[in-house]
Amino acid sequence: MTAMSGVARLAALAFTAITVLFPTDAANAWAQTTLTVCPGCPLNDLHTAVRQAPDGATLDVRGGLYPGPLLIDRPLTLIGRDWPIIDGGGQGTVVTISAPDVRFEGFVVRSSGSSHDREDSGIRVQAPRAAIVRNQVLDALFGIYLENAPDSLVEHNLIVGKELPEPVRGDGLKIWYSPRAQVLDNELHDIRDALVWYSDDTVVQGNHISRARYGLHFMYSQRSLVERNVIEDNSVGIYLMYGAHQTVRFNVLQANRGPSGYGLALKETDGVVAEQNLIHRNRVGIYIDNSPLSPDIENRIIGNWISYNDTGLLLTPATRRNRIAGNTILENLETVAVSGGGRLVDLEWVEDGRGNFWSDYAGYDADRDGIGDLPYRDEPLFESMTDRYPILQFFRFSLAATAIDLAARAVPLFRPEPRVTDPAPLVAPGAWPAVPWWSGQARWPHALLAIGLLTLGATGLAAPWHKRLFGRLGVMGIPAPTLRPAPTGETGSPGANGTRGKQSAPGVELRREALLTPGAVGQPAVIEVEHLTKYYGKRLVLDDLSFVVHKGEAVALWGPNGAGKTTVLRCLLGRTSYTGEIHIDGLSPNRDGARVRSRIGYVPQQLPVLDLEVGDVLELVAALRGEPVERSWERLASFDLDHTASMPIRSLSGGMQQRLALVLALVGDPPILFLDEPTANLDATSREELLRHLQALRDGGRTIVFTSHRHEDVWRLATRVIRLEYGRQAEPRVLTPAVSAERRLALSLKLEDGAAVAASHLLQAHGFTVYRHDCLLRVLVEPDHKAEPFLLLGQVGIRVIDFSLEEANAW
Amino acid sequence: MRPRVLVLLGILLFLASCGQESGQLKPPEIRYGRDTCAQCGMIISDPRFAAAAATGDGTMSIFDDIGDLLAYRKKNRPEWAVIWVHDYNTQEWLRAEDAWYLLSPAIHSPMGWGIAAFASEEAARARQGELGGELLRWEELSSRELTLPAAH
Repeated sequence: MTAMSGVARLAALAFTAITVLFPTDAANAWAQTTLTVCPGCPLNDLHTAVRQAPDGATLDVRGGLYPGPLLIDRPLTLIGRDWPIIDGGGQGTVVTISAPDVRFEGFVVRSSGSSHDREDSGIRVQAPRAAIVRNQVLDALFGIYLENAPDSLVEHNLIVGKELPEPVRGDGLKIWYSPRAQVLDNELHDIRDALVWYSDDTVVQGNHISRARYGLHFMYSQRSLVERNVIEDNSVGIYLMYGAHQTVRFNVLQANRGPSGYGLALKETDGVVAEQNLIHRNRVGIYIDNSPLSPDIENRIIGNWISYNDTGLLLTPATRRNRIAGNTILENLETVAVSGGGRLVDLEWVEDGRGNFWSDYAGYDADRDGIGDLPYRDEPLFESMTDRYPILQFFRFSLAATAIDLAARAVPLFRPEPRVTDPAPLVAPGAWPAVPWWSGQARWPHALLAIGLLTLGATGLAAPWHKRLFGRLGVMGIPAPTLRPAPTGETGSPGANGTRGKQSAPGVELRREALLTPGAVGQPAVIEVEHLTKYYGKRLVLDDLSFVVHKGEAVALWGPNGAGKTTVLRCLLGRTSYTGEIHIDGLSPNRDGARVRSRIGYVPQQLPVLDLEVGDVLELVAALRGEPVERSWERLASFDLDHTASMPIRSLSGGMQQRLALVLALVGDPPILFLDEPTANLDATSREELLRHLQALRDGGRTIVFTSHRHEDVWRLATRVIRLEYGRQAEPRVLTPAVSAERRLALSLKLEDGAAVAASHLLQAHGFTVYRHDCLLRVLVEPDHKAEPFLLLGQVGIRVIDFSLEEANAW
Repeated sequence: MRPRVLVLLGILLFLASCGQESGQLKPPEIRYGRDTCAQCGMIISDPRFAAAAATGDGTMSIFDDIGDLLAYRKKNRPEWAVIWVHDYNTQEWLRAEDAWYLLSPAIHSPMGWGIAAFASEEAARARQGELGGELLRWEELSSRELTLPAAH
């Protein structure tokens, strides 16, 4: 310490002398001086070094532990090497920057205090033009706080909040009266919010924000640009309030499913441009409340993919002057809802003669101009009732809901006024938005290299090159692809061709035999379907389908999206009209609906999420099904859900909600179970739990019909598979190399994290049959088109980490 | 289930028939991180600034910011029988008319109104010494024409 102080004093003295003697050039030369700080160096105390260094100097700070708090009160550059740690010891703010033009880079800043009154922070900047770059801010109540710090840069930082319940955490990033900030390529996790308040012209690009309350929350700010961020697994994705002229584009807003659960929300905000975002699997895709607020201003919602949300668009009746066009509105549980009920007026659903793609559109395009010849109308009577009375959502999949919608269709008197009329609906999804997966660097060469390797491997030329090439790939950090030998000899046993290594556990092989067995011999038929045909408008969705399900079978309706799986279930439940014959225990769903449904337990893809408590719902369903409530409580306990009795359904995890759906379906002991994509929204652990329960039910003799596009589910659960393609039943088949005309290959692709959903949509849009499991895709390809998926993925920058090529097996 | 429902209904009817004077109304238990503000729709997380109000029949509205409560009242003109605010220091409920209020731009409340409530004048003045700002009683605060802070 003494030695260090001496050096610092000497440095200051020298600087003063040089400044007096050589007032310009020499002083500048000194200003560029670098001082090294390290635990074993003469200058080993960071505080003193900062305090005594001349303006403009650079501190080269080596790895080691430096106690906080640290005040940087003059223009300096601090560069950390080998991650020097500044530890706040759990008290106050760790690093405060009060001078302009400070660059602070390469540090670990950790352990702030926990006072919300003081807003204890990791790094707090109170002066203009700071650059906070490549730091790790850990265990800080507020992460990086720009407080009256205009023109600052926050780039490539990792910010992780304190381990506190979400409501009492601080903001990972707080930008407060700091216009023109640039927030680039940061990672923020486990924080409360990332805030931009009273700060105009903010640029937020390339960040990943997860496990927060509000991923990004803008208030009283204008002209921000928010692009290419991935904002996922928060309570709300982006909330724009009381601002103007914000642009939100090319972002991924997914799985934001907290209490309000908006992907993107606009409240009293003028002139928003939201374009080409992927808004996926949130509770509500886009929420618009009274925006724009000012007259003569329009918000533009253009070219987004709004997919698989509980509600696609939720608008308040006060919302006007929004242009919503060119969007792909895909498979949302509810397409459009009006918050609190009422009418939507003064909204534009078309731009330049083109509307939106609605996946529930049932029109046609006779002139093939890409625009449906009939307007799209969203007019379900039941959903218009749920706008006013949200509690009715619980009955969404019930007979009552079906009856109401049927009545609305059959009797114009009941037909509600459409909430949306899109006069020019698109008949094909729009272009995949240019989300961050598209913008990766240097991915083209990888994709092209992979294509080349695949081609080499498939043509048998790879052998001499295989080792050398893959050795190089390993050096480049790319795992070597595995090409497996084509099967020879006997047909299709997975063990025979070696393509089923991961599924070849004992028991699974036995089940494989059952997969190819057409029905359980000797058991009576429970479900008989003959010549089932179904049109939506003029579009044929089920084409002369006939099959039988015997008692005790677990039958998978298996096929790609759009194959007609869910429509079959809707017909079996009597939820939609059809031609042909269906008999369930000898009864017709259309004619004896109530008696048929009393025999069926139905598990939807997702339980309606309500504030009702689990116990209340269970008792209600038990009363409706006439089961003693004590028995229902036993069921709840047997699925390890008894502790949730007083919890609102909304608060349960996805896995728990799906188990609860199964419990509710089993109330009254129906002998038949229908399940619609039961594991589609579950993580690996939850899926495993649910599959175990379903296997037990199957082994207990219950008749099960389920839809799935997950290969694993079918493999684990089904005793027989009915394969659907384009509404038709495709024959189960076992392929051999000899059947060259029918030969298809299964290309298994391992993708980078988070890219699987995008990739599967992309490939399906190009006509491939795709099955997805976590980050793995299984794509069925023709032998002479096997490189095409690589090309398509490469075009949008999705990186293939590994792949293998196998013979496609049965079904 | 039916007997339980009947009992529950009976209790509810009994409670309803009793009427609810403002003195009998009790402040709500806010579920922080889950419940949302009646005015702005945001999730209520910070108990220091939470507020609530109830009509005579017990209909409750909750807010994440005292300023949002005032804005809601101005916009919707509800017939509230009682209004509560949270003490900034203890986060305990106070009747609005009993509290002292500090209005200061240095108070970063959830919606930016900059209003904090205190149980005593001493506590309010102590915080005023730290943060500056203006000290008000409920009548002055609620009759004042509040505006959201200007961006710039």
